[in-house]
Amino acid sequence: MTAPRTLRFSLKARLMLIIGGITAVLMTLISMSILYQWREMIVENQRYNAEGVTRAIAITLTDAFSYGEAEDPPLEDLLERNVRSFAGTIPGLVRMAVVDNSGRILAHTDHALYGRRFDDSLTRATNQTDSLISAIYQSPEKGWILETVQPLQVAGKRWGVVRTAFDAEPARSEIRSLFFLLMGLTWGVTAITLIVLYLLIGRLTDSLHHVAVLMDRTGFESDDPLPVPQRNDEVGVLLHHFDLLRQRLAQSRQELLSVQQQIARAEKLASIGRLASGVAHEINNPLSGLKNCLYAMEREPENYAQTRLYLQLMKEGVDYIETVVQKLLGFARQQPAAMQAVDINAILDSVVRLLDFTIQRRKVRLELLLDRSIPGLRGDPQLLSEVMMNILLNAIDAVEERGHITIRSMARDQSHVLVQIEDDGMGITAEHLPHIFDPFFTTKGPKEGTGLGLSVSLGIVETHGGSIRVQSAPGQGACFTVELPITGEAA
Amino acid sequence: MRNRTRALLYLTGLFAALAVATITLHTAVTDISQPFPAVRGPAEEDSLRIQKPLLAIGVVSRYPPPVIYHGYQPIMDYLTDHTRYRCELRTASSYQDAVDQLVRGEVAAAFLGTYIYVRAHQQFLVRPILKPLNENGEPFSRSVLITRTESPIRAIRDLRGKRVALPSQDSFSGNWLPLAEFPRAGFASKDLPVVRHFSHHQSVVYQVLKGSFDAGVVKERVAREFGDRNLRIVSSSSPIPGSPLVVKRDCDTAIVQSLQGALLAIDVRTPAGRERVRQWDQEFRYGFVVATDEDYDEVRALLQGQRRSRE
Repeated sequence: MTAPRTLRFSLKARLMLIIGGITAVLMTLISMSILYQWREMIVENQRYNAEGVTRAIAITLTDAFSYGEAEDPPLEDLLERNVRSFAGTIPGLVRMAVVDNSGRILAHTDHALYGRRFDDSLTRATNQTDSLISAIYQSPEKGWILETVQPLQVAGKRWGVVRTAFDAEPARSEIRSLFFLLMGLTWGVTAITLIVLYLLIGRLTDSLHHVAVLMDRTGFESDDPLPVPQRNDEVGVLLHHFDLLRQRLAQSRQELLSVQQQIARAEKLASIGRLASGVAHEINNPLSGLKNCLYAMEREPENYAQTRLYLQLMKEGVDYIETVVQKLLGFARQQPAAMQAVDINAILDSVVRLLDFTIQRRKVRLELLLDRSIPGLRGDPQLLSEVMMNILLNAIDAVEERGHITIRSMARDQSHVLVQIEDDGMGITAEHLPHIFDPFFTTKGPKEGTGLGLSVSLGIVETHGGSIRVQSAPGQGACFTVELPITGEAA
Repeated sequence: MRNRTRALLYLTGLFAALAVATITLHTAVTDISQPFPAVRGPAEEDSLRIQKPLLAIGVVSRYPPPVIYHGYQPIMDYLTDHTRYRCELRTASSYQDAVDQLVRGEVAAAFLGTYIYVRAHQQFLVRPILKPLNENGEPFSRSVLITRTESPIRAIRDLRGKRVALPSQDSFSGNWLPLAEFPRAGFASKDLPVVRHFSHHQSVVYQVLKGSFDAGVVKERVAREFGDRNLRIVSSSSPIPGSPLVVKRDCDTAIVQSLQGALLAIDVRTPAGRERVRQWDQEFRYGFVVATDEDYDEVRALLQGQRRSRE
């Protein structure tokens, strides 16, 4: 099993994304918190200063009003003098106006506005309070303005208000500088964090990659220690545990081999037992016949007619034993076949002709569906004929009278041909199916079969590099499929 | 190649999002109109006052106008709240100006000085309706002779050859020494190198503190106001009736009753009463009693007698 070549969400990417993201978010929150607190302090400080200046101005102007009512010089002169004086000396003062209770301008830094009336929201708000009012807004002409309005009054006596407008741009510039400083700090810290993370995680993932390569290259046959230097970190622990795993696998493999050998030995003993049992069973009957014949002949030596008959019977019994032994030898030998170009369709035709009498006698309906275009293959025609005959004989035995057998030949692909022999006979039980290729396994009665046909056939086909598969169920017939490799030579 | 293009796209998107977030944040942060409120302080509805009929009340120019407003406007506010009138203070350019305003009907009542009242009563048919109490609950006040702490002046007789600052010629304090005490000490104003009258009592104090004058006369309440400065009281006048609130003799009785009712109702023995008068001019922080013209006969006799003897 190999590791994926491309990692969509690698450990490095995920760690950088998570830690980088958390760092960025935290730094942004901290920076914004600091920024907003400083912003409030900066603006409050300017407003505090502006309000202080305005209150001081208001004291002077209130005095001017109180003096102006009773004494010379006239009130307007006093106000004008004060406004001019303040406008020239107070830094940041953009404009200043003294307004009476009706909103009429009594004095202003801009002489063109004398006598006009204020009618803005600030004036309306001023009329409803005796306290100082401050407002910060953006003026189209003057830019950002901090305006304070202080009523000119003593206790319940109110002459009007003084409005002072200060340039608020310095406060904004200070806030802007702070903003860029903190943003720079935020992104700087985030970038440094990401770079450090990139390097650290790179080292970690390189180590992991090295471990992965080492794992790929390391065989499980050897239990030698891994050829890596000792490490005292997590990667070292991982390598150590990998080494332990490797050792456990090697030990398991040894145990598995041992068990497999024991199983093979047991199967071999079982096969030998089954083989011996089959041989004994096959030979025992004719031997009993031979023994009976000898006993009869010994009892009546002068009975020549009987002796001739028994000798004939003994010959048949010996022939049968010879046949069994020959087939047994053939099964045991399974020597390499004499390979030559073979036309599998021709073999099938020949086998059908040989068995034509038996087929007719059993009134079996045979259907030949041969693909004449399949290529030839290399093999032993005699042995392959024996295979086809064994399977077809089994099919004939399996079907009742008037049964149906279908023989097909076809190319599975460019390198293999298939031969299927299908019958609609009694079928094979699930219990018997695993054993039908075992030597001497047969469901036929004595004298009807040796139980070696299919096992011999399987040996022949495997000798040709092919295989035999069976599909069957009780009452639903059986289909034997012989798969043989194509050699590329035409028959 | 596809991965690289995708990574480039992701990075571009990330930087675009960061740029948009930065610009948005910058706009929000530098918009300093938010969240700072445009209006601070409690709103106060003043419409009730405006609906009341106006009642102008004058005051002599014993103090600078700002001082007068700080001390007398709270009295006006109290009267507005406790009478059916909207009381407004009218300052005057002089003591006589305050009397003229009263006589001309420009003000319905006026806080006059003791001396100017005595004179105006004879000329213009005005009458007192209230006079203030002092810290002892007595309807008297005093004028005092002050000097700097280190001054050698210990008595009125030490003023010989000294420069003396006095308040208005229309005030009791401005006349006490020349009319009552100098003759008793055996000299006259003309025997002193400098005797000068100033418009306000505070001006007299400033002149003495600066050393421009060796001594001066002010109301006792003004001397107390500067008690923590480098001042010493040399001598005090005998108790005289306090500065009266005066109306014309034919003044509407309803106005008189309204003013008297409101000001006599103050009980400075209670914390609420003391709190009410806390911002008032110190002369009026101990309450009022009803005043009659006869209360001022003693002053009238003192000053007239001394004047006659001087003549």
